[in-house]
Amino acid sequence: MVEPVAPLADRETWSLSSLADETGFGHYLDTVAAAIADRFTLKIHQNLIARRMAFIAWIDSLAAIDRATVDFRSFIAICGALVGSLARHRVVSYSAMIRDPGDAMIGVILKFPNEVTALAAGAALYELRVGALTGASAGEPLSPLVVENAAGNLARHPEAATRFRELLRLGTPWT
Amino acid sequence: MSASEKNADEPGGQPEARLRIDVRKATDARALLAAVDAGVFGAHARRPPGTHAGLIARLVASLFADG
Repeated sequence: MVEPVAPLADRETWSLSSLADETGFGHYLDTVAAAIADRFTLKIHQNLIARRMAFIAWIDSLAAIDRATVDFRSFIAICGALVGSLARHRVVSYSAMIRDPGDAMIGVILKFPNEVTALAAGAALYELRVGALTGASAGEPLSPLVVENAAGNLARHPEAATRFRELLRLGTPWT
Repeated sequence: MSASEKNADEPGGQPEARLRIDVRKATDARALLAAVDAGVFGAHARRPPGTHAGLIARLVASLFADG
């Protein structure tokens, strides 16, 4: 286990293409994991070997996306590939910093740390761009039950990563 | 879980080979991501395409707000 590298600076900007760089990929993942940890008072543990394998898997999976027609389906496939690549490797885990966490969501995160982080990484990427496009959030607050179902589904069926929008009830501006 | 435990769990090939980044694939991936950013979002975005950690934190917090 290693401590994560510094997450994105608050005013730092990036583009999607920065995620094709291992450092950018790592910073993005650190930022998402830090957001989860901060929200639920958790300590993050990352495995850098697994993170590199997830990065390589993601780069590999992007090669399968059709380059002939680049449209919103490409973007959804990119987000799904990110979820799937992170979920397949045990990159992140958390430990509770409070003795008796009463928050049900914490239980879900501790049970499915990698899957929850993978889903959050894909959802945040999706929301960042869709939100910039529409000016509104594509998501809704999720109950622990919904998150547990989504994470459990992803743990049992890695191919469910392609359905991250349905699992997390994310809206779409595209018809 | 240690790195060595993880490596032992992973199927196929030597660990060093499996951890090597294919520069050509990474370059292709960067081009695809840039094309999506420019083609799908660039001309239509209401906000600048950049983002920052605070926005990611708010997105994650709002997604898990019902905890």
